[in-house]
Amino acid sequence: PAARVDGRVLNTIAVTFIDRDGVTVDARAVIGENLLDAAHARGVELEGACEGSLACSTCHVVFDSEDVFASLPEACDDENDMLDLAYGLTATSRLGCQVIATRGAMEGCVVRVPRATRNFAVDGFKPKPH
Amino acid sequence: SSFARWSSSAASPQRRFAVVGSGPAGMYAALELPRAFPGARVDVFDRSPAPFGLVRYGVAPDHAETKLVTNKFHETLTTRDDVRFFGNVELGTDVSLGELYDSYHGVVLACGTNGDRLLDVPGESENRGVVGARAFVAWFNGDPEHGPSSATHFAIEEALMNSVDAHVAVIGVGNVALDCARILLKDAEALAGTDICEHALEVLRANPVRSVSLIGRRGVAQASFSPKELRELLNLPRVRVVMSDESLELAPEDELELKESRPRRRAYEAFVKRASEGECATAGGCAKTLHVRFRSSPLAFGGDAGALRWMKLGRNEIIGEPGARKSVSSGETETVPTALALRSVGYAANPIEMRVQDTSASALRLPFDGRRRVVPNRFGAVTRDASSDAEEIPRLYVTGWLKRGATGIIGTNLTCAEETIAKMSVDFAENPPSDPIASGVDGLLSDRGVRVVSARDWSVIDALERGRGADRGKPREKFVSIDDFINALDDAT
Ligand SMILES: Cc1cc2nc3c(=O)[nH]c(=O)nc-3n(C[C@H](O)[C@H](O)[C@H](O)COP(=O)(O)OP(=O)(O)OC[C@H]3O[C@@H](n4cnc5c(N)ncnc54)[C@H](O)[C@@H]3O)c2cc1C
Ligand code: FES
Repeated sequence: PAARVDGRVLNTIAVTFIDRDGVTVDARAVIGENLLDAAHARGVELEGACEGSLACSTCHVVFDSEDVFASLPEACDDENDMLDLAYGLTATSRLGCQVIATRGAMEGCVVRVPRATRNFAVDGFKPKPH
Repeated sequence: SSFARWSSSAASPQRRFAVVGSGPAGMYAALELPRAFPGARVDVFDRSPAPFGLVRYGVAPDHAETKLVTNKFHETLTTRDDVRFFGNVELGTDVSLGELYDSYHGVVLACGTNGDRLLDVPGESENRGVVGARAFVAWFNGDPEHGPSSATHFAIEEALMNSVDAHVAVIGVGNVALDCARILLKDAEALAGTDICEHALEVLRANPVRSVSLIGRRGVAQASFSPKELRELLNLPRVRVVMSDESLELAPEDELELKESRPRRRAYEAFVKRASEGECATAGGCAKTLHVRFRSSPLAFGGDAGALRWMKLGRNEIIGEPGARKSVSSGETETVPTALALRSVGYAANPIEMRVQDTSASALRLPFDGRRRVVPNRFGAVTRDASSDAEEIPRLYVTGWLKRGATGIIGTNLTCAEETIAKMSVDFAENPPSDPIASGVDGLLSDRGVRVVSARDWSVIDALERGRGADRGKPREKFVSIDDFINALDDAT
């Protein structure tokens, strides 16, 4: 599918972000764009402390699908090293600034931003909603 | 299902918050507070005239990418009208905790650490050349805490300038140790285009260090270097890397430990790979040497008239179960000529003392956990003491290194601050605080003659520093003492 940005027609894929509050955002990523930029362009909050220079790990995202994860080009050494320092690392974790939107398996993928307040729930802290 | 959103009803009252500390933990808290409490106003205090804590004064000058996070923090302080900066204001000296507590709905402490851990060996405090990594980092990064008139600044320059072929020992196996070793071993010209302080660059240029030892009490399997930074050090151009084959040997317990930790395994692999390439891997000959000495502990330091000359190193054996490996002395020792020894065994907080005449009604005291060297807390809510069932002090919170201890990267403080502010928003929803009895500390600070550095002032200094840097082909040349900083500000405004 195509999107019109600044009068140009760009090819995009559908990407669903689930933000750190658990809110689902159906977005589109431009082919060739990384997921950090895609999130920002669509108003999804995703920290990118080092602005995509592979020096922070705050752009950590988790793929819902193992198949999509497996289809991605492999992470380089530096990305793996930074990932090890990321909060809430999982088997399908990547750094958003390093994953480039491509056609094919990524079409329609679901990407989660890890939840920082997870500790609360794990430790049995039960706040009452108001 | 959002903790943050629960409190964001349309009728939410306007809250005022004080955040003490503008390092990553304080800045992430300042960003999160208006999100969790719509309409909130946040005052960020820092004892330093410049904001951003260890991002400015800790992160190594040659890691500019890591400092890009200050773009967002700078924008937060200088462009939002719900966030104000109070630089050059020290909690304890210029304002008391009680005074903040009386003036804000909530207080979030993000003061990081104000000290470091000692080795506790003979000669450590008698010889000037035994210096904490904290002071050494402050020297090359221009932290006014150890400015040009400090004893540590003098000791570092004395040690580096007065010896020929100076050998520097870096004691510790974390990333701060890697930073110190790299700054010493890197060619000074490769640092010239960074924001390293000119005084440090001059010394490193004039009398380059020839050899650095990286010293770890336990073995290679127990080192907590992050692999990326380790590879960077091991692959510095024109640096010979000397490590014994024996130091890379693993006991079965070590192998089990490495299996459990991907970062440690990857660090180990980086050592093995570098060893396989031979001592001098780069073309053009080696100018400097890195000695990697695992299973070694400094046992004593000695010198002449307080100037460090030597270090006695003891060999260790490593014993114990995986996950609890310990070093024990083998009895074997060696004396190594050493001009400077950098103790890099951890940053740690000391209690924040309230020296100022406390005018508050609450006279609130800050609890401290002397064993863990943090402010005791539950998910960031400060508790009266460190016991597990201790009562929480309402409206008082902590985040960052002061909450967790000195571990983790910049990003760790993001999730840490989110946790604290989520806890806060739940607490405030359950127990809405009444309005504070005082409206702020602005008047108190001006009565006390405190020269508050505002966000606008910081922008002026930021531009001046960038200009001074541009003259030298650097991104920035910092003002390295509070007096220089304030004088430059007064001249410019
Ligand atoms: C040498 C070094 C290098 C590092 N390099 C990296 C790196 O490359 N990448 C990375 O991700 N992480 C790095 N880190 C880790 C990172 O810096 C820390 O995780 C982070 O800075 C901790 O944040 P904080 O806000 O808790 O503390 P800090 O950054 O220390 O901030 C605390 C702030 O509180 C202020 N303050 C203290 N006491 C008072 C008081 N009484 N009143 C008012 N203000 C006060 C201080 O002036 C300071 O601005 C490094 C750490 C060190 C020590
Ligand atoms: S933004 Fe820092 S690693 Fe991706």
